[in-house]
Amino acid sequence: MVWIGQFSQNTHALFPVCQALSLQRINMVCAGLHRQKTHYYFSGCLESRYQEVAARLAADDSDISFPGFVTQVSVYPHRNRFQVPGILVEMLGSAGVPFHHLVSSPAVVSVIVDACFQDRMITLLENTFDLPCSHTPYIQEIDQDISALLKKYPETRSTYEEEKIKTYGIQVIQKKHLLYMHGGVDQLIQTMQTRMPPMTSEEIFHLVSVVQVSGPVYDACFVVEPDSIKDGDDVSVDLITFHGPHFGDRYRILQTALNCLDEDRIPFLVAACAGASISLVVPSGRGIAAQSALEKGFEAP
Amino acid sequence: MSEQKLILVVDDDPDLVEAVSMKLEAKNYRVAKAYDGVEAMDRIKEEKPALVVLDVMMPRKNGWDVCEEIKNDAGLKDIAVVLLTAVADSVKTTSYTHHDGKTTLADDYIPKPIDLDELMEIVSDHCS
Repeated sequence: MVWIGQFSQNTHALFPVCQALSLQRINMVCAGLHRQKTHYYFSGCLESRYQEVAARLAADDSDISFPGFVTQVSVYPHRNRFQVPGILVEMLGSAGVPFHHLVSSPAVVSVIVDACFQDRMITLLENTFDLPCSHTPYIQEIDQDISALLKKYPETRSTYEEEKIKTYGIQVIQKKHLLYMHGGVDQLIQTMQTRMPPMTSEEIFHLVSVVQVSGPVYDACFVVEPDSIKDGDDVSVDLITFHGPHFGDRYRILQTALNCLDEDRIPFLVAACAGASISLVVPSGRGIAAQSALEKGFEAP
Repeated sequence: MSEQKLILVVDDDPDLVEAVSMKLEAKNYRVAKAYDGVEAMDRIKEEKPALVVLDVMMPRKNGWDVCEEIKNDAGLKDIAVVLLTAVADSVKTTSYTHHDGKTTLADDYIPKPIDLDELMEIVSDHCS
């Protein structure tokens, strides 16, 4: 895959990278958008066949960085325990493996690292987590698996248009807290250790998104239970999550979600996509309105 | 009290596996999970579930092949298989020719995106 990162102070524009990819019908494998009052950070991954598209985007906009080929490694299920993202950040920090993005969905925590770190990452995971032997080391060749299936069962693939994007349901989780962190991996680890519950506790998180800003500097967002965070300037938020069955075919999901919120003038603070799931963080009290706004573009069973 | 039936949920989308598992556990089923066809066959042979909720498009071994293997094995053929098919009938325009789950060896099928309540009814019918 290839990774694109963007830092921009133009928070009024409707995220040109997402728009450009949506118009070209190019799907993002995973993505993250952290929006603040004066700027936003974007992180997204495309399949490697879109390398030229990524290079063009970077050439046209100096805010966009495109470092080259990356690998996405996913750990699941996390069962919302702090241990999984906490151990991952500590593991990567102590091993000196830089990452571009770390993002969670309801079941998965995915990390994007440069492709040259792929084997090291798998070894680190094998040494750190108790993995079933059937899971690792298993590297999925996206196109290869699908083309083999299509040859045998051509009827399993479809091309279709629908008025609304189908989902498994839109869930709103209200009155949680958003904790922002900004800095190097050491600072992230220190903040996590001092402000968050011990990793051995039963406390849970609802969303994690850590985006590489530049070099060793990261912007991190954690959505957690209000009681989980020790003193600080956290923000009360609502979290909306949904996922659809064929995210791999759905180039327009993120853009549609952002447009739906924008039409109803609902600001979002964080948008994160991993696997087939999308999470949107909105100010506290706006979750139900955001759910209604999303129903204009998405359909739940 | 009757024994809790074991359901194996198989999909390469871990978020869907999690969502279906939570719903099944709330309905008092025991749940096992697998994320591809090879792992599914291992779990089926080890744990002999009462029913398998089985996705079709998966890496390593697809759902059609897993279903065929279950139904051709004398020791496993009584395990009910519910296939999760790729496209809903209600899609307005489509080039899809629906591969009817019932013409395969599967016991039932449900189109994606699945309605979890409908899936629970299907599971309950086959486990009663």
